[in-house]
Amino acid sequence: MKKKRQTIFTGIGLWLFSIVFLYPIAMVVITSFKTKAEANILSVRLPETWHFENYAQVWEKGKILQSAINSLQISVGSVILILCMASSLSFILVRRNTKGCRMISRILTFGIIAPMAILPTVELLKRMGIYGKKLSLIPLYAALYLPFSSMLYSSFLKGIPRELDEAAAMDGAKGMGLFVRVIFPLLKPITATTGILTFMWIWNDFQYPLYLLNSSANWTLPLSVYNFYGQFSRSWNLVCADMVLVSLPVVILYFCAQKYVIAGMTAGAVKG
Amino acid sequence: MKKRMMTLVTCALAAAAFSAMGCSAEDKPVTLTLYGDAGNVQRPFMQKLFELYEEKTGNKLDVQGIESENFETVCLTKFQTGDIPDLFLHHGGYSLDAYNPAENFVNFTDAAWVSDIQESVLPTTMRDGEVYGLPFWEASYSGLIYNQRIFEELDIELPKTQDEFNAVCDTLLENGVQPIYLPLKDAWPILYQYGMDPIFEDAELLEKLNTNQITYSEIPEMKAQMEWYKMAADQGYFGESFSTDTWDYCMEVLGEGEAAMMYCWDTWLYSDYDSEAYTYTADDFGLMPAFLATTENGTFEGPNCCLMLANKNSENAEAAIEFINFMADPENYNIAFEDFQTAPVFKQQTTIQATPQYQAAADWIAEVGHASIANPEIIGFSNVDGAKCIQELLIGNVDVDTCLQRMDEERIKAAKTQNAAGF
Amino acid sequence: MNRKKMYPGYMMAVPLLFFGVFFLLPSTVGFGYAFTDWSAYNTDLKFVGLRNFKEILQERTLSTAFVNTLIFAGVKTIVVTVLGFVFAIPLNNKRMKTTNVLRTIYFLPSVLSTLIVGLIFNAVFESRHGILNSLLTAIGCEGWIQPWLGSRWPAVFSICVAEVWRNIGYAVVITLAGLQSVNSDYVEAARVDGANGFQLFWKITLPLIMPSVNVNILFSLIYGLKMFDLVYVMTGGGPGHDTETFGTLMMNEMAAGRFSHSVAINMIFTIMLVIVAVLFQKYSERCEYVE
Repeated sequence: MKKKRQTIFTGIGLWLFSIVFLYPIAMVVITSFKTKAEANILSVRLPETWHFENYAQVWEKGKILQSAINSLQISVGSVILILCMASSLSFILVRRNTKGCRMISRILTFGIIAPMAILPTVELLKRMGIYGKKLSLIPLYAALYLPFSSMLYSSFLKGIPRELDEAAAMDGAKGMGLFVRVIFPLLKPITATTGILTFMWIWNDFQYPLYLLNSSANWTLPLSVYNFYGQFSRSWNLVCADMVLVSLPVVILYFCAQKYVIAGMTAGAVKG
Repeated sequence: MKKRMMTLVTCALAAAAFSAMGCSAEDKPVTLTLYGDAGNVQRPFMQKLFELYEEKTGNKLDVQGIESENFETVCLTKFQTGDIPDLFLHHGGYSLDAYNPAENFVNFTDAAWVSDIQESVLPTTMRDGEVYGLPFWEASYSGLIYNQRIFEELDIELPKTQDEFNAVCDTLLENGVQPIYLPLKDAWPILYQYGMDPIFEDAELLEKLNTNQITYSEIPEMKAQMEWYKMAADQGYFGESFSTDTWDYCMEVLGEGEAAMMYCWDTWLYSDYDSEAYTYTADDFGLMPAFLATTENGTFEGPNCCLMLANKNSENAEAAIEFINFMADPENYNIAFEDFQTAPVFKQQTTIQATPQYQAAADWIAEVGHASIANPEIIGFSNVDGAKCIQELLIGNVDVDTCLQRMDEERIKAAKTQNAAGF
Repeated sequence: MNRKKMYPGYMMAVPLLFFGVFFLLPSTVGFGYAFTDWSAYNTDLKFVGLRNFKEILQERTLSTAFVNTLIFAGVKTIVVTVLGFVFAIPLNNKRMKTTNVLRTIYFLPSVLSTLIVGLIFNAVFESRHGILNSLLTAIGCEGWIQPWLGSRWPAVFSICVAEVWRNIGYAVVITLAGLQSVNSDYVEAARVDGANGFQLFWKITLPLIMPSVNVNILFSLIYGLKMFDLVYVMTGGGPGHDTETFGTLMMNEMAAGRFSHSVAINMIFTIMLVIVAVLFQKYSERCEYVE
């Protein structure tokens, strides 16, 4: 009886605290339907009438469609590249497990730790002749997230017994064939996790596009919000509508694939 | 079921991404990229002209308004990394040197439209005797805009001297009105260069500063200006929350009469201020000199035009030059500036009229007006760098002497980077 | 079968090439620029030795940035880790029926772009119509009202709050998973031996989940040290240079055209991060992976 009451109290406490997270988000969503004057004071008070046309206005002025396509191209392209590279790399690293492989793993850790070297990266891209092109972000993101993704894959691969490889080898599978036909299908859960996590990070990233994309035709969604905020910061209703539009895809993805996100966060940590 | 949904979503995403990748075919009309300060490209006459151009020529403009606070930072970075737009909107004067005009921009000295520019404006468009850009801009006068109705209600007479001005601020404070709105957080709206124009009108002094033979710290007027800022902040002339006040809220604060004055330019009242949204309309405001303790009778700052520059190395250079010639066509600028309130920049400008604020203050401007000197002519001057030092002064991090010392350091550092002689 | 044949090296080639060219190269060889006089006005590079480093070390802003960076990372790591436990322990209660919903809500901010979090917290801490100041007025604490982003320590505090808000979700999820993976047999056995709740946690649960907590702390630290977006959006390093971090410093120097300075700061920053990470790994030992 006492325990039950305790549970209820902690439950109430936890729910009360969730207001801290929900209030600002609710405020943004509600404000996005207000008039400019109503939006001047930010709060969760409901608008007198719901102005859905704010979204139409933002869609038009904020170059949302173009930016969304850019974001999608960059994120999807990078994620596919990351998944292919990280899975095959960690497969070899885990299975070979030689001194050299462990050395490589250590060097990869540097990739998680070191900050972005902005100017040298810009110079590199210029010399390669791809600076300012939106697709130049794909190899950069792939290199940036390769270490973390390999870490996730490695910890998962260690749970797949080597005997399986040997059985497949009996049937003549080795190298790429072994990996593609036998191992990769087993990696589905961690692939989903890695894919979703890296997708969310790349989609939300602001620093790389800020430095590396120039023409507004190449802008990603977060960059377009920043630009929109610069021009319309007195119109909080429009800024909020823009923020909702930009966040919606990742929030939906998160709700649908929550299981994988959480599994990934914990796989990286617990099994580490 | 859920699983299938996920697969479906993933496929749809991928398909959308790649189909879009394929269809970036070349279009025939030219698209010109234009970088400019977000506030500047949003000017109504600019917007009108952009529309007119796209309509008449079928070409497109990719206008990127860069947020004011980081404008120079972002643009310099872009230029230095080779990302130079076809068209660039920037002020003239020394600050343009950072963009290497001789190498990057088309030289318009021999263009037909040069003779159409008002003589009083022409110098601001030149750099080393050459014309690089078209001053398609408002000719505004800067000082303090003040709320005439509040002044009348409180029976306040317009100040003629610095002491009278301080007394006005005290009277406003006693009556519960914040004297001046100072958007300190955004740095640039401190606009401290207004006070510096009268100091550096002395060409000899300017020359000494620009060859590193004298520093701000050694100039008593500069010290007086910083001391005045400190005193004003301590007295409450800038209100309670000046340290986080932003430009975004200036209309509201002035429009609702919360504050009575702001450092600004007359044209702003008609190009930006939203008369319908607030208690006070644009016509309720007047223009008086900026009293910043550098001169006894205050100072107005003359026009400081933004120039439209064309990138001469771009593959679209020809279209960019045509665009500027299009802007300089009296027929087009007269449409763009129709009913706009400012003084004229071009001789054949027929559709504009001076603001009532300017007309009312014309004699006063003739008396204590100064050309814009500090911003365009001081080597290493940066509106934002210096303003950050003033931020530190006003929030109490440093004293007046240290503030000036830091302003000098920033200026000298910038001059050194620019390889200016003498630094 | 031979391991080398079964796991051929060429499968590592492409990933390592990408990583080498697009990450390692700029972050190692690229630092050569730190020893030149590269600037916006000078592209004809000369070797200048350690001059850039000498100049940078004399800059006032460097020590400010150093202190701020450490504060942001330290405060964030400590608060987030502690709050992770504070929320994860009650959520681990099997009688709680709404654990999953709550976890979803707590994690929601982590899904948003930092840029958006920054804009939201600008609205919270803004002095004119800011939510926090309105709230303080409403509950009668007018004395606490202040321009939150208007001076150094309140601004640092505000940025920390935003960063913590954004990161609690990660900590809760990881800690909760750690707790859920603890074998209840150990706990029961200890309980039978008469251990109280606090002892159970301190002596049994905590050591068992320490590995995941350690990884959590390491990531918190590293990403905290690298913080840029939030500061850039909320204060831009101001007022004055009070909230500058290494990230904003690099940006400022770059913008002022002092490229070699920017690269030199970048290099100092990288070395600092590597030292922090190595030290931490030494003390926790259990954060290695792949082995």
